[in-house]
Amino acid sequence: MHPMTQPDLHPDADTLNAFVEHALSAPERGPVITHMAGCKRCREIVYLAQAAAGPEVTPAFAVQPEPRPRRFSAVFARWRVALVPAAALASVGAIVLWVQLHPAPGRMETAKLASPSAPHSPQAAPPGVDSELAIPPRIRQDRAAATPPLSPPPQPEPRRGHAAKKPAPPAAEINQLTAATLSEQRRGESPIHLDARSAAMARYVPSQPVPPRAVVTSTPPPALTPFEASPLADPLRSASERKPKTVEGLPSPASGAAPGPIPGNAVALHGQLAPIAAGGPAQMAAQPAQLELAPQATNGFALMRLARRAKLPSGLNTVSSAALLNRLLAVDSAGSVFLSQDGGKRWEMVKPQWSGKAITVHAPAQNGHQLLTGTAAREDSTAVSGNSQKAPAEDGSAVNAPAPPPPADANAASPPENATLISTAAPGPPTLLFKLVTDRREVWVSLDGKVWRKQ
Amino acid sequence: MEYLPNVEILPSQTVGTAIPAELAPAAQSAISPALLAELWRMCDADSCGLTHPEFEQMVLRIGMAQNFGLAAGLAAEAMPAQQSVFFAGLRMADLVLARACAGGSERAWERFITLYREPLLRAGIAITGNETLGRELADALYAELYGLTLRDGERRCPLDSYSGRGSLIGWLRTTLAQRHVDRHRRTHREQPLDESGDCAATPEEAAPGPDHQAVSLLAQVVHEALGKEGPEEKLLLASYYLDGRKLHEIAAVLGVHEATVSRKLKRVTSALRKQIVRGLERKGMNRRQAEEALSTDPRDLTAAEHRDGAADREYLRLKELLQSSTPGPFKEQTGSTRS
Repeated sequence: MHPMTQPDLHPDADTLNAFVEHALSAPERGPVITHMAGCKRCREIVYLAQAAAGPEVTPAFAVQPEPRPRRFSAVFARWRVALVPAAALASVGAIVLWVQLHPAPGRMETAKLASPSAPHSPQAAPPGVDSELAIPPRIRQDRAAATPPLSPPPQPEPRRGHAAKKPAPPAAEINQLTAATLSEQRRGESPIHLDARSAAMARYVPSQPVPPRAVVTSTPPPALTPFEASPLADPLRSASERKPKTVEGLPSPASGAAPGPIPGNAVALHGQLAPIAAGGPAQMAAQPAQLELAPQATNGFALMRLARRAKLPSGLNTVSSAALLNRLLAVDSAGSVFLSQDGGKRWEMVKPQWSGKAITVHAPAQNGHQLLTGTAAREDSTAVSGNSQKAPAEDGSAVNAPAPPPPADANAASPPENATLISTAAPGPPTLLFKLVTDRREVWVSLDGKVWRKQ
Repeated sequence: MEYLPNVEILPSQTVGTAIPAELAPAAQSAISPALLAELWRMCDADSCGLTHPEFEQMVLRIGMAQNFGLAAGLAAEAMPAQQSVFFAGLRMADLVLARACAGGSERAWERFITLYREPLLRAGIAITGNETLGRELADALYAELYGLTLRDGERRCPLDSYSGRGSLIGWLRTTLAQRHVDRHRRTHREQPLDESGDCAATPEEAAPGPDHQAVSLLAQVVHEALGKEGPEEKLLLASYYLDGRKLHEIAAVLGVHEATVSRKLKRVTSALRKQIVRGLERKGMNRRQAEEALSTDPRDLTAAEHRDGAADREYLRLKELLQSSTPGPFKEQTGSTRS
């Protein structure tokens, strides 16, 4: 067989060469492939020619145009070193800008109340014991470890007591307490989720006993214990005014217990003494409502209001709310005021004693007032001053207006008679007042949320 | 020297075959002088010892032989752009050199030897794998290219068959490979399979017997399955399983990546295997018998070469079946597209 002698039997060298060099068009390539599929001779020729060509004949897929450097790439190639830190800076800047434009919400921590079915019974136990029992064990341990017993020891005199002024906590101790509180919250040991620094502030107990700054004497109320006015009940007080006031109360004669040392962080709930950090919120934990701690200053205490918009009987939205101890007041969008004494479960409408619509409600309306006995107020009137707000007395007790906090019992709307709420600055209106502002710019105050009087 | 086409010069008889007389008037008006001048510079025709009329006639002959790439009956001379495209698609420098050598131009041969002697020798050695055989092969081709062989009393130069579609060195390599394969087949007295008369032996001619019956059945099914495959798949199978070519060699010939070849091979063998098993099941075998008859893998065909004689014969039978897809003469497929 010779291709020159049998030219029609096989593709000639020119065609096979064109096939090897991929110079054939598709219509010309098909018959060659068809022939080669069954012709070993032509396959051998093609593969031999391909092997002899070596790298000279490059497959079509391997022929790729060399990428030409673009002008854009050439420009950026010179600045490649600077591009990396610039990109990093841009990323950091973008993150900072994003954080600035999307600030984190205020540290609103919901205090989910732990045991609604176990309300604290203030009359059941002596004040000191009661307040200690209200403190979680963990906090009690911390306090026992960090705080020496306050001096003086429990005095037998029921009418006098010492209240140590709560000094400004050192930053280092506050930081430690903050860390401890955070760790407790992480472990879930703390029943109340407070702002860590606020909780630490509340937990802070001065390591050194501070001599009492003011001693007041009051008539012994049956269920009233000395307490320090809670900043919880003083939302309008400025941060500079939130220095804890030192008072000394009298133990309840009914209990017969001597007034013990007043914890610096005590707060009174319905005449019961409770520490602010544990006892106060813990007593509030007995209420099934969900309260919210509003943003606050670092050295202040939390203000409470409704964390959610409660369902009011009117079916309208809550536009303002206030919590004073176990009483919740809410104003709906129609201006109606509703009161709840069971933590928001049941609401009763407050009969409007004002003209117009209620706009906002908050509590307490005034600051600088503490629940004290009248004697203590008189004795302490010179020790603590600075609060000049006074309200006209409604009744005969102009100086020592009876202003106990609302009782724990929902039906006990009237304050205890032997409990006296006095101003630390001067004889003034009772503290722990709900304050209501109407659309006519009138301010109404109330002790229990039911009976209102114009301020 | 600036080339100025002279339309009055008649075609020279010294280079190649003269243009038919009926083409002479058309040739004078076919190619524009600007295109001729550009081709002259591009082909370096002066170094090939061509005169301007000879070059003009040569170019016109090349163009007219394929009607400038147009279908028959179209007037290419009226479309200079088409002529330009046609000549741009050809290796005009190689083509002019080849035609000049075929015409007997001494300067063209000098240039050809200068350019292609060493590459041709290297190609011969690469094809034969032996320097002596390679030199011998290259020298034999030189003698043939010089036109020492006569056919029908006329000197015949293989360079005349070069059409310029590929490179001249590629054409030379392919021609060398052709000569080498033909000589190898001649000297080894191996009967080409595609020309053997008994290659189309039917499976029914196999000796009867249980094994032979199964093998003949398998051969029949393989024949049917291969008949359904396309030409490229057959080429892949034949190159890989029969010729033992490597993936990169097949990929270089087909102009694809070897991963593509591998993927295609896998797909084709899988499909072929399924078809064969299905065909055997249709012939009455159960699936297990079909699997056994298939020997689980078509690659076992190549392993049969090392078995005993009977198995070797069966292997050859299957190989013949695969080769039985050889089409008819190449001229019948391509038709009249080639000149």
